[in-house]
Amino acid sequence: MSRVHQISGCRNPNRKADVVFVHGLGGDPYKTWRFGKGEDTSWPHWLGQEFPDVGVWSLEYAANPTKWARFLRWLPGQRNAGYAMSLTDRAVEVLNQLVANGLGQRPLMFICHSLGGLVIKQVLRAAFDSANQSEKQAVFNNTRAVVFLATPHQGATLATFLQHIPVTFPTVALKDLSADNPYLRDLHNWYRNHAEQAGIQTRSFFEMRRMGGVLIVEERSAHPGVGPDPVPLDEDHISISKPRERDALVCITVNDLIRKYLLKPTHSTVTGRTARATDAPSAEAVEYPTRNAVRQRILPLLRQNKFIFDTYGPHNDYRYNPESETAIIWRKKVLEQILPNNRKILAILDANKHLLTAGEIIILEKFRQHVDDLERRHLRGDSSGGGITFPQEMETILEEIDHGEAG
Amino acid sequence: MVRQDDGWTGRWVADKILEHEEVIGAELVDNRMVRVTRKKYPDVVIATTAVELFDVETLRNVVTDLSAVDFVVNVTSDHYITGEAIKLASVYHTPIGGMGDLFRALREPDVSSYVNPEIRFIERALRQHNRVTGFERLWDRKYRIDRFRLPSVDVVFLNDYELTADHIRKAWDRYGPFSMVVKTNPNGEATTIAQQVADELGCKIYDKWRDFLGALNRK
Repeated sequence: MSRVHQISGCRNPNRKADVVFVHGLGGDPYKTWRFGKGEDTSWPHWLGQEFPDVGVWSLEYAANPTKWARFLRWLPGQRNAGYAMSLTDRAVEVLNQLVANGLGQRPLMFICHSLGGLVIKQVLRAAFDSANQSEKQAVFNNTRAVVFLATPHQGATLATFLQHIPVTFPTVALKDLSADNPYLRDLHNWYRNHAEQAGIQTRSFFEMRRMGGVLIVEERSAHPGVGPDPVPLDEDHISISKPRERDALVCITVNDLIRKYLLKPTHSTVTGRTARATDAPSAEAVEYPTRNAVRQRILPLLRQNKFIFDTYGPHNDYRYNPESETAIIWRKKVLEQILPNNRKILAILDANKHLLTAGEIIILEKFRQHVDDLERRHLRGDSSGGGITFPQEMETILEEIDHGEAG
Repeated sequence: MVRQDDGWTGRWVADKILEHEEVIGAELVDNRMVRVTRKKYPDVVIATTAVELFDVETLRNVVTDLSAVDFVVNVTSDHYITGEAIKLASVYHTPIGGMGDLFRALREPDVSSYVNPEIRFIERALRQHNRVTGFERLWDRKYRIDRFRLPSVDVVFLNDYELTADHIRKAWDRYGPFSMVVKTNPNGEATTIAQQVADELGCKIYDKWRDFLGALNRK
C-alpha cells in the first residue's frame, strides 16, 4: 500500500506548487532523505522552510528488495516489510494516491532516489495514457521537473547480481531493476521522447563511491536520455539522497528548478502543455457561406505550416548533422504551431463539409490521417513507424470559386 | 542486380543539371561524360552511371582516366559503394556521390574537394573522440573504429528519418555484420520493430548521437 506523507505547506489551499520526494528500493519516506535523526537534517524539511508557498510531500510505498523480512510485518509500523509490487502495478496505485491528495492541480516536481525514479516515470506514463481522466492526465501535464538521484534507467548491475543469490529471495521490485531489462529500455525511450516534448526539466546525479566494492548505478545507466549529462557526486548509493548542507549541489539544483519552472507561471495549470497542441478548436468550427470564404480562412494556416516545413522541416540539409539544433526548433514548432493549425483546419473543414466536392472529402480524410500520424509521433511518442505524408492536394482544396460543385 | 547502365545517364544528367542555379550549360562529352559550365566557377567534367552496387569495376567501366574527371555521379538513388572504390577515387581527388551530392558540390568552387556533409561530420567527430585511435571506411556507410585499450568496433551509419527493420536488414545484407548502427538523422527515431531486429542480429541501435559517442568509451 502506498501513502503520501505531508511534510510542509500541503494544507495551504493557495500553495503555488507541489514537490514530491520518492524513495527507492528498501527506502523510507523520512529516513531516505535525512542524514541524522532530526528534522534539521532532513532535506524535505529544508525545502519546506525555503519555499513556504510550496507543498512538500514524501511518498511511501512497499519496495523491499527481498522477501526474507516478511516475518517482521507483524511488528508495529512494519506492514510493508518484505513486500513489493511490479513497477506497472505500483505506478497505477501511486497515481491514484497522488490524485486523491490533489496533486497535479498545480505545477509539480518529483525528486526521486534510485527505483523511485522508475516508479515516477511509469506514473507519468500511466497519467499520460489516462484518456478521458483529466485529473490523472493533469499529473503528467503539470509536471514541470523531475530530478533523478542514482536512478538505474537501464537497470542496475547489483540488482542483477543479487537475483542470482538464491537465499535473498528477490521480490518483483528487485527483478524490475535488472540490468538491460527490456521493459526498462522501453520506459527509458518513452520518457526520453515525452519529457522533452512536454517541456519537463530533467536533471540527474549519480554516485561515485562504491558500496561493498560495487558501484550500484553506473554513469551509463544513470542517464535518463534527456536533460544535461548526469552530474557525478562524491557519495555512495545511499548517501546521495541525504545532503549534509543546505547549499549542497543537489539542493541548489532543486531550488533553482522550483524558482524557474514551478513558481514562474508559464501556461494553464490544469489543461497543461500537451493541451496546447490538441485543444479542440471549437471556436473555429464555424459555417461559412461560400467555398471561397472557407478557403480564405484556412489559407493562412496552410501557408504558415508550409513556411515552417520548408524552413525547418526534416528534409533540409541539417538532417546530415546529428547534433543540429534546428531539429529541436522543428519539433517545438510542430508542437506549438503546426499541430494546433492542423486542428483548426480540420475543425473548419468539418464544419463546412457540405461545401466540399466528393473528391475534396477524400482529400480531407487523407489530411485527417496525416494529422493523426503526426500527433501519434510528436504527442504520443509512438515509434511504431509508418504514417502518411501531407497530401499536396490540400494546398488547392476549395480553390475553385464555384458553388455548383458542392456535393 | 543492375551492374551497368546502357549509356543513357549522360543525357539524363545533362538535362537534369540545367535546373541547378549555378549551371549555365551542360554538353555531352560522350554517353557517360558531361561538361558543365557554371556561372561563377570553372567548368567541371562529370562522369555518370546508374548502378546499385558501385565498386572498383564500376569505376573502371565509367572512367578510363580518373584524373580528367571532377566528380562521379551515380543516379541510382539507393546505391552503395565499396571502400575500395572510394579509396581509389580519393587518390585522384574525385568524389563519388548521388545527385544530391552533385548538386551540393556544384555550389563549391572546387568540386573535386567536395565531401558529403554527413561523412564530414562523422569523421570529424571520430577524429575528435578521445577513445578513438583510428578508423577505416570499409563501405560508404560502414566504418571500422579502432579504440584505445578497447576492441575495434564495426559501425554502420544510417541517415533515415525513421529507422525501420528493413533498413537494418538491408544494411546487414549489404555491409555484412556490425555491432553498432547509428542513426545520424537528428529527426525521427528507430521503430520498435527495428529495435527487435537489431536485438535478434546482435547489434545495438543508437538513435541519439550522444549515446553513440558515450558507447565508444565502453566495451
